[in-house]
Amino acid sequence: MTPLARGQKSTLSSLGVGISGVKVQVTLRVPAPSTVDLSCFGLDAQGRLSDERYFVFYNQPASPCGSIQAKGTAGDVDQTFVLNLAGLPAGIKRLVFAATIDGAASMKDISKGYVQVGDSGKTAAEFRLQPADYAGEKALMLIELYWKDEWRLAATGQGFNGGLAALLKHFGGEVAEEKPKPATAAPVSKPAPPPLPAKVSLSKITLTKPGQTHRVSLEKGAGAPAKLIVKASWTDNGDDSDSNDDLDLRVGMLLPDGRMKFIQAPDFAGSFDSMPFARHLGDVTVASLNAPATETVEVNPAIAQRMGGRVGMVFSVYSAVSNGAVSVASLRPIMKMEYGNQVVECAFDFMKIAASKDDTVYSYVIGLAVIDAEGITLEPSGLTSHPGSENTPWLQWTAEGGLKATMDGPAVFKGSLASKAASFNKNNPRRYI
Amino acid sequence: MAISLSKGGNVSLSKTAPGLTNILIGLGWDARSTDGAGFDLDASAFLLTSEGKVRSDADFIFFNQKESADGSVKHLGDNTTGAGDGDDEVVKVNLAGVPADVDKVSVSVTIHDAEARKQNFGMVSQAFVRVVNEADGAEIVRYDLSEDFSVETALVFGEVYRHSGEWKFRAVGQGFQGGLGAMAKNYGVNI
Repeated sequence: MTPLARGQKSTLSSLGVGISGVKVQVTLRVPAPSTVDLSCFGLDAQGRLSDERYFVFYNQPASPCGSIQAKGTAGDVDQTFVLNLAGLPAGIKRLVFAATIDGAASMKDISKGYVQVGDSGKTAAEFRLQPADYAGEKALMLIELYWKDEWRLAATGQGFNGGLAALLKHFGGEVAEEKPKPATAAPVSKPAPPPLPAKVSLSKITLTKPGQTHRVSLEKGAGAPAKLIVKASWTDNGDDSDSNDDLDLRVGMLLPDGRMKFIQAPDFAGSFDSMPFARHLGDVTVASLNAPATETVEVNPAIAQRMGGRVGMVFSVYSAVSNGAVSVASLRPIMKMEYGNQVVECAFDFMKIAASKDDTVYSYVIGLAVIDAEGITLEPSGLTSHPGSENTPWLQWTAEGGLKATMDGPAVFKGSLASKAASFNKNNPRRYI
Repeated sequence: MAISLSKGGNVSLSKTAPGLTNILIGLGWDARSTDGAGFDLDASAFLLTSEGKVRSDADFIFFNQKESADGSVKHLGDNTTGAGDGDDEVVKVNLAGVPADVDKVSVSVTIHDAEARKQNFGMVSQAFVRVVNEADGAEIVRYDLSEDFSVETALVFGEVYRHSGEWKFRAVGQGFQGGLGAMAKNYGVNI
């Protein structure tokens, strides 16, 4: 086992560690009652957290690609991260493993601290943290795995007195007040900096089970967020075919009077400022592992006032007939609702259900929302259409004032196939307005 | 577009930039953005004979002796923090003025007080050395050292050397134990 000094760097290959089953084991203790949180940040080539889903921590124990997994405590180890570096999106170039202290202690108080890097068979390198190296740091970058021609390991051991907030700022998570750097005198042309990432919200909520709900209060006044943004995203399923990674985000809207409205790009895109007070921003046709496809719907926060009562919404993804055989579940569709810096994710794991084995299941319901004048209640759904059915998810208000979703709404096709819907719907009395 | 070298690579300055007279050797790095003792990195230049030694102590150009006796090599100043973009320290060389018995000018960077501050080059990011044609400001060659160092506290970044009647630049990236004093001694300076 190679001991690493602070600042030391090495390639994984020279340590004899492969890239598919890397284990990073962290043990870090400070005197009670302070506790330590361990996390992994997946950063882009500029060292920025440009995709906050790659902040893997207690509340979000895996990256969307599944290649970063926090496995929790085991024996003397406080947190084991299991990594498939080959499975990371190409945009993720650096994984920073960090510790933050919750409580009065700082890193000079470390009573026991080491990071071990290896694979399933062995521990190849160990970085021992020396309390004498630190003073008032509340957050520490422990080690980094990063790509420069190949995957490398750096024993970083540097941190911030400002704790997690300072750490996030370092990763570009909160840069609104920063002045742009003056242009460099070097004649070498540098690529333009990427767009600044949105402020990372630590209050992010992930819902994974039907029945779990989360309520987001709508804000009032001039500073209130102007939009509710709902994004559905999915990744390439790795089957070497791009053609079948095309899903459509569809939104069914239950109006206060019980009628249903339907939006989908491009034919029924909707409108933000007039009925139905929600608009679809467009169709995205190809996903890849590097760039998960995202379709976005913006909802007017005043929708309930404008429509004169509560509005129910059902968000589903649909695999078009022309896509050929694909299990929608393998694309791992999730949805995220953003309101200001509040973020709620609905991430039901469809791979767990029988429909995932059936490529004639075309529609997957990822989330339900009820919006009233005061706020939004979100709930994940695991509902899927019946095998072979083109029916859409349908909503009804229940007698108790709840929302009921069933998979028997009328079929809707887009573009040149639109006229086909009639034959599918001839025995279905339900119609969208 | 400048030539980008990796460790050990070299390029002919005379061929790449015909008519070259004065060069600026720019060195840069990023200051630490984490908390803790700041870094103070110092650039130095050694005028070396074909034996790899200085002719006298006057051939050691550093923050306390900023110009060679003949004026051909000048240290243009110390930036103690590494703050700001672009070059942090610059060494100017008048190639035609370099005495005939000087075979190469070696440029190094050391971390001041590295041992006491528990610092090393593995904690420094975005380090580079580049050679710029003073006449038109064009960058001729560049070497990004970022991954070529680790726990070293002194590093030879690069060297400008004579080869068959022309001037060449080599991306050295060689670590050195013991800081500036040890490095100077190694080149024959009386410390």
